[in-house]
Amino acid sequence: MFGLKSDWSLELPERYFTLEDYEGGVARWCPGCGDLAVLTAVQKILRDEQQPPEKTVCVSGIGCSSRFPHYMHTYGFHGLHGRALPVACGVKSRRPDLDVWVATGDGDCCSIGAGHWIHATRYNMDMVVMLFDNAVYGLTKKQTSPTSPRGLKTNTHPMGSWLPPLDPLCAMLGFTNVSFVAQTVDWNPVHLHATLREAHKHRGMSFVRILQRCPTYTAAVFEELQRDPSRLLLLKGDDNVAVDPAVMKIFPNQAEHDPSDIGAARALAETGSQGEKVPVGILFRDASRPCYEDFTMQGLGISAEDKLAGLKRELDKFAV
Amino acid sequence: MTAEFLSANHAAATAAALAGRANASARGFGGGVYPITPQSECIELLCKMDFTGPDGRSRGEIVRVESEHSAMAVCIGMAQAGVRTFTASSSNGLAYMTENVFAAAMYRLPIVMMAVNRTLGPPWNIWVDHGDTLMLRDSGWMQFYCEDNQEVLDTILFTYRLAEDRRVLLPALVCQDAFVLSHTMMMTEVPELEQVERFLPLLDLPHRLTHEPVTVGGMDFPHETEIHRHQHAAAMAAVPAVYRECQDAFEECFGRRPADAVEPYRMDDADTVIVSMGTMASTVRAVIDAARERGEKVGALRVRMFRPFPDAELTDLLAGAKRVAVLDRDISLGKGGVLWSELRGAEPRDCLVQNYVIGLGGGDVRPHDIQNLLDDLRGRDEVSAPRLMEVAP
Ligand SMILES: Cc1ncc(C[n+]2csc(CCOP(=O)(O)OP(=O)(O)O)c2C)c(N)n1
Repeated sequence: MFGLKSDWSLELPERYFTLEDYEGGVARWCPGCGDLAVLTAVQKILRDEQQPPEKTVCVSGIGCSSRFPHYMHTYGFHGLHGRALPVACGVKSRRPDLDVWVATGDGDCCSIGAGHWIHATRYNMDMVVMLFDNAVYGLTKKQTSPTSPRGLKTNTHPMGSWLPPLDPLCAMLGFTNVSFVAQTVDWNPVHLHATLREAHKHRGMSFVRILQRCPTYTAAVFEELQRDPSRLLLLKGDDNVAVDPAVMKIFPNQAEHDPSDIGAARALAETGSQGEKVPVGILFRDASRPCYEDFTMQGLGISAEDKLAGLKRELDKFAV
Repeated sequence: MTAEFLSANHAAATAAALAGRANASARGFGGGVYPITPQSECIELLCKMDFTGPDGRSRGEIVRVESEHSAMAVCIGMAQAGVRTFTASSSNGLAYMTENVFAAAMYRLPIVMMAVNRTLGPPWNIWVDHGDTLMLRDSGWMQFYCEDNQEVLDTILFTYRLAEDRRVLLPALVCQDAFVLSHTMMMTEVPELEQVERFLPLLDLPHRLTHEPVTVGGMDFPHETEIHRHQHAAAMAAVPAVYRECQDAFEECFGRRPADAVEPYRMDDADTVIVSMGTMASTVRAVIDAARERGEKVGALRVRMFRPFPDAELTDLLAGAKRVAVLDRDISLGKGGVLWSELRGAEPRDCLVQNYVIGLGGGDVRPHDIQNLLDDLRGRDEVSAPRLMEVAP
């Protein structure tokens, strides 16, 4: 009955996590580095979802961006250069209960680790893969990366890089068993947060390429995209990243995109790779693609009785 | 010859480029490169250089690849095509490259690689430790450890001649200590191209791709592998003699004589000897000088060539030793210092050989640290297990 004392009492969860519960060491990235925005977004998502820190694992390779696990107060694995994905697969394959986040740079993932990238996509284990794409090797101080734009002057191409850059979205959309591909930018925290949240919700390997500013070595690379949002194309629709109408207004170019249409996704990625109409949002999502866990986790939850019955069945085969 | 103020990273790149240009009228120069601290400045300098000949034709190519594994693979392909090849790496880069490091030696390709010695991770540490290149001990490469920037430059030129000699045909690894050398500038004499051309004959690899199609790298049956290993071992055994010839030729062309495979210091009448590699040897010498002033009969040996291991030289040089301290900036876990375990057996009967593991992970090795271990050595009645100096002062 209304007004009774029992109605007043709140259902208090046993543990409530605040942002601080996810904060690790003080981030030692350069002022203005896009990595800081990603860190904040991930911490907020975990807080919103009340994900226990001890049930969360951040795995990285080597690079500035791969310092990510140190700044999270979750389990962290700062691995070898290029090897974040197979380590994450190792964790996930036997601990599907853990929430796995991978932080990897354009060098780490698309250069020295590119072989693993193709196969992790095919395994499609349930994890979020964040590609911090600053178009340069940051930690080793400005060498050309596979995603460096043509003409970028670096310490390994002092006259400017000449090869066409690798486009991670086009690559992903060509890999077997791809199940989730999105793109966002570090300088729009709302879109960044919303995109990562969608990635987190997806079951399978969710790949998010984050266009990430490096004020120290590639300040000019994303400057125009940042100054002139008409170079971006906001993907919207019932099944796409939903952001506040006020934030949507920032994007003069918007397009309806159905993420189940891989042909359309490839076309968007292809246009974006030319530097015009760079798509932001979910390009592709297919929750029906098989996950590695679908095959290996069968029977993990089996009861003691069922186990005994199975054993008995086997032993019965030897009955004379 | 001009004197330039160079870091050892730049000295290495300068030497490689000179050697490469000296091969311009043959198959030119090149290599695959990938950055890693504290070596990146070496390959970055190579990336800045232009290898176009006076006729406008390219005489070299530095391929900026996607990993160390590929860097060595590109060197293998180029070397097989008859090109004079170079690359550089360090620490975990070498670890990742290892499969192709072995392959380069098995293919008998005279590739020269500069390695900046850096601690293997994880946890990550960018400072000096010899464990990374010593891991490649059994790879079939020659290995040299340098003490200063001039030696880095000279040894790269020197090893091209040694490696490309038909009696040898083995790749060579030229090592230098992280930061102590790689990022320290020293006055370095840089030879003229004509001098280098005189010292280095054009590379004429007998098994390069020419006009007789063959496939290398097939399948070996046991007896064939035995023969291949025998040939490889024979090539290693030929090194000391060719080394001495190269010393003479180097001296003639450049007016400096590269050190012997083992470099002795104040060894006459020395009964107590300190053996070390790399830059620690300079500090050791200062301690030896002070001890000599006190009238102590001490001397030092610096192992410059680690592969092939200079057993005969060490046996000769240690003939009068009663006590030997072997300093290792590395540790083979489960055994002890690598230099120490390799050197055992070169000492005379009744000589006490004690291993000191020191300066791991870039830890400072100061004169008083060396003095401490010298005191420890003197006070010993018997050897003990390798002493890890940082944790057991
Ligand atoms: C096997 C190996 N090779 C090379 C390196 C040197 N290294 C460290 S980080 C890095 C590139 C990092 O670039 P990226 O992945 O784009 O990350 P960023 O620093 O830009 O965030 C390289 C080449 C290494 N640590 N290990």
